[in-house]
Amino acid sequence: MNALHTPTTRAREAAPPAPRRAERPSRWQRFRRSESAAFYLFLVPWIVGLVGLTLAPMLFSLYAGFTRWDGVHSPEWIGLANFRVMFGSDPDFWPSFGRTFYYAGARVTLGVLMALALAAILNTRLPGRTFFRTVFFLPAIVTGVPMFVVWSWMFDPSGGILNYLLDKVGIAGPAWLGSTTWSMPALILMSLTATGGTMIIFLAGLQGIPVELREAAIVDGAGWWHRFRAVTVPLLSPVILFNVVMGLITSLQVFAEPFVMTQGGPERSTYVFGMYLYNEAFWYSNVGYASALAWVQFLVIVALTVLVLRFARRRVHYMGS
Amino acid sequence: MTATAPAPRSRTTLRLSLTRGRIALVPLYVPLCIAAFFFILPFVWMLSGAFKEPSEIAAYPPQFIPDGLGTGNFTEAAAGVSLWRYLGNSVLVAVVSTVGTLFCSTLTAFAFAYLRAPGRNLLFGLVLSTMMLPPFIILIPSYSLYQWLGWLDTYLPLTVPHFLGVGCAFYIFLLRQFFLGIPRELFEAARIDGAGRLRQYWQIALPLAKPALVTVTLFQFVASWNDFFGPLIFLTDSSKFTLPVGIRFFQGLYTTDYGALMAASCVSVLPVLLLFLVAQRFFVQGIATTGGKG
Amino acid sequence: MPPRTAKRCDADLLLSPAGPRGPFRVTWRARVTARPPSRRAVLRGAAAGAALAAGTASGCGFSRGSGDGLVFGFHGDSIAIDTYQQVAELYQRRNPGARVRCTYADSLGFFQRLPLMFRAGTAPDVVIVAESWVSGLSQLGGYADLTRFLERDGLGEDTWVPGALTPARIEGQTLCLPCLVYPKGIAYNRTLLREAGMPDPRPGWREAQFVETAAAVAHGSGAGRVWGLHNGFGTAQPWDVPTIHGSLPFDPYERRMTATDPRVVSSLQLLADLVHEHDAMPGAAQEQDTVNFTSGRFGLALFAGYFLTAWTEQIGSRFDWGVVPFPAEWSGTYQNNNAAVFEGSRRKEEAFAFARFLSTDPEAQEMLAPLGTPALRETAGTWQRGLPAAAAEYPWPELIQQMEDQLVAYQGGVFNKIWDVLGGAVQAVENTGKPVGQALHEVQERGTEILRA
Repeated sequence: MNALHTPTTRAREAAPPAPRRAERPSRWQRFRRSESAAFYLFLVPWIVGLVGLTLAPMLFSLYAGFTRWDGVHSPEWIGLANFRVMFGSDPDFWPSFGRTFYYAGARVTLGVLMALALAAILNTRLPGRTFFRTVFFLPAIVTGVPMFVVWSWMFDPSGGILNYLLDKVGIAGPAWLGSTTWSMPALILMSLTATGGTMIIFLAGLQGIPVELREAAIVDGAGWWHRFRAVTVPLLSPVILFNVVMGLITSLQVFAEPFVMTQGGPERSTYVFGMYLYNEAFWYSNVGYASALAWVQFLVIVALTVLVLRFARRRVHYMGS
Repeated sequence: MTATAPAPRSRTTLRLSLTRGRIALVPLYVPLCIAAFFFILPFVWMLSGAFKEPSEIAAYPPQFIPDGLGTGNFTEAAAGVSLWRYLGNSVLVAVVSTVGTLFCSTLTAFAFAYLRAPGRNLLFGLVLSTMMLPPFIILIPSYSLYQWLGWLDTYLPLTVPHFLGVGCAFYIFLLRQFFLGIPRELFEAARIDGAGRLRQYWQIALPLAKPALVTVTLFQFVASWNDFFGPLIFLTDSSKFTLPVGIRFFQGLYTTDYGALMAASCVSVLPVLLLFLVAQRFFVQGIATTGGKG
Repeated sequence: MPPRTAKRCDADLLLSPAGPRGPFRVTWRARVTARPPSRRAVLRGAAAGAALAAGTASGCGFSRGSGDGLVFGFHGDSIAIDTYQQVAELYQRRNPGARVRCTYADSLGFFQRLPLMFRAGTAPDVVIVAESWVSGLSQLGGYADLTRFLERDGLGEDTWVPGALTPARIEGQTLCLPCLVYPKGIAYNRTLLREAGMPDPRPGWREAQFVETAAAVAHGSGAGRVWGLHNGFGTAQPWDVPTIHGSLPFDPYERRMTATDPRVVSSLQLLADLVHEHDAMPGAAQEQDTVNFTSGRFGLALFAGYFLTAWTEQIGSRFDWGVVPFPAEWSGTYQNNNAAVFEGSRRKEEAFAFARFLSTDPEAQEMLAPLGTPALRETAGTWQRGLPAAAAEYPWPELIQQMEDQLVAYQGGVFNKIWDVLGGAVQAVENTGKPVGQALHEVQERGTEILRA
């Protein structure tokens, strides 16, 4: 069999036997009907969940976006007023978008690059690779408040371990979470340690690259960098694309890190969109406005996702085609 | 398989080239060890914090190795809250929600991967879009919904939604991609043998998707294990609390008992770590065997 | 806490390659080894599933009927939880007919849950609320007005220590009864002060001596430096800044800004000078709570009653320390803990009886003492004697008396937004040396906009 066969082309090939359609239309139609029926039958639990549990709250929050609502009393319909405020006069709106893009851009770029590099290194026969794989994957499975507490300890400018170590090598460490310049990099640094998941995906993707291709490159006398560029990266591009898309969706919604570590400060330097949304909803009792913000964020994420997929369509190398 | 025959030769070549490159690999250890140091530093710090006296925690310069291996923080943590009960509750909720996730996301992903129907793309877009709205913005209507259903203060809001695919978008997507990698010929063959779609799902798709199922299991278990907000909002009876809620009791309104917090965190990390070590075997191996050897 | 924080981590892993060559491609060889699960395995799985489902369902216990007695909601760390439970038990022993059921969470979590419960009508009948939660959630209409109960039972200002009713009084209503108060003062590191040749501060000391002491203690540089004062102002509690000299940045009742009030300006100027002129204090955002006074690297720090146990333990015998009231010119922020009655409670009479017990019963007040200073005047007077060694020596009567001058930082809704704006301004002044006048002028303008919206 052709090892390079792609599921998509395979799916295309496995499409119902079209030539037969002319001969036995009724049977084909019945088959088709049964396939649709089966599809929806398999989806019954998910549809029940969507209609019963997800859709109603989602639509309600959409409605709430057009109201003034403190979350307790009855919502009051105000039409587009929330949107007029956010695009017109709210000084937090655009800057928090900017910060979110800063975070997401750095987080996705560095995260994907680092995970790719680690995966590439750990895909060799390096002694101790199992140990390293475990170490790099560990932070991805342990999250929550205790980890945040430990990190804010480590970031402490004068008593923390990071600046203590920097001090040892003669560098005066920054104020980290206390500095408007360094707070965002600190959060990004922290979240980069949770890229173990991305790394595992890359590792898996690398192991999926046929040995004979790399071997061919070796025979050709290509150096490791050239091999990486010419063989590994193109073959891995679908994996890279998906890590980028999913990384984007999650990091554009970043909230936990700034919420626990900096509360958006200092001087709003880490006041990302997720923080802004949360504060409006639960701290300023402005749930209607926050719902409007959430749907704007929703649309931005949808648009970006579609954009990235479009952009990648021509660049990602699919082996089958 | 065409690839199996030349494999030995290729392995030899590769090994040779690696031996040649081994010296070149040595400098890789330096950045690798530095990165590993930062990845593991928080854990080391947490572990050492669990054994420290209150006065050692605030000490400067920072102390990596505590003066003594006193287990005072652990006994304090266990005495302070019903740690073992919370641990049991956490296991229950995590296991049930994981079972639910596996049930619903495999069914849904199977349908998206193999069955064509009008509206499929639209529905798949809906699956993805459910993860683009921050969960806390639908919290208030969700709370009202569960109240109306009479589910407040039960484990139902923490488990039942997973059986219905709520919050499973990632898993559905993952499994769909995985199912797409299974050769369609297998299903065709099964269909000719007279197997229905349910049997194809159960006897071909699921067994062949084992590594993906292990991934989903691991990640849903971890997600449920670490979930703080769900149990906090939906549970009021303290005997039903889960670990993440319980661990917060070492943080007061103004002060934090760092030692006990770290000790309790160490205890709470252990089950997940064990699960990972068990799953990891499947995981890495599973991926490895499905790779280029084909 | 972040909703479903954990999701972030799986997010990374769950991405699967889009493409045609997914990492998880199954090979033909896998088909040979993969066997469909046997029937017995299926049955076993089903049985396990059923058992688990039953286990989940058994979690449905506590549902709220009308004949179940009072529900008492409180929050805090494990010690606070234990203490409140014991007080509830005492109440039931005293009143054989009464039944009190407890529900609790950690403080932040409980605060997040409270508005949801107000809305849904599931809030506890009696609930313990910090002073900031009273004004903060008062707009949501969750607290019952207790004024008529107080008048009926003859309870008033002089039942409790000075100022204890101030946080409860919102727009003519009395929304809760004080249970615990947290006197504030200045903690000083006697060891460091000796080294710097400074005398111990005494009650009635002046701000000038405060500044002089802070400046004298500060020395060194780099990571091991010693500061004159720990910056407990501005970062997490922006209200501690303007209240130093006794003002709020806005008038909550008239709904107008007062950020350029001379008292606000002089308070922030004092902090700015301590940072920039005297080099005695790190900037607002530069110090994390993780390293505070207890590290022994700060000469002075804000002290509040609730730090007592934690600080005593963390400091141990590493250095010698004491507590003194604020300098004479200072006011400060009032902090306490109260018992409120839920407006939606079906048994307000019984709820008030229990709240009154928490607030005015001497035995209950004594039981609460490990969590702070009893609010009941007579118990607060004797409370000091029971304290562990050094703490019994602190000038408690002066610390408590001083609370009369303290201001309650009004919070909630748009006011929280103004506090956040002020917090940002404080950070700008202390970190980048922005002129105080300009920063507060901006707060004044932005705040006016917020209040108008």
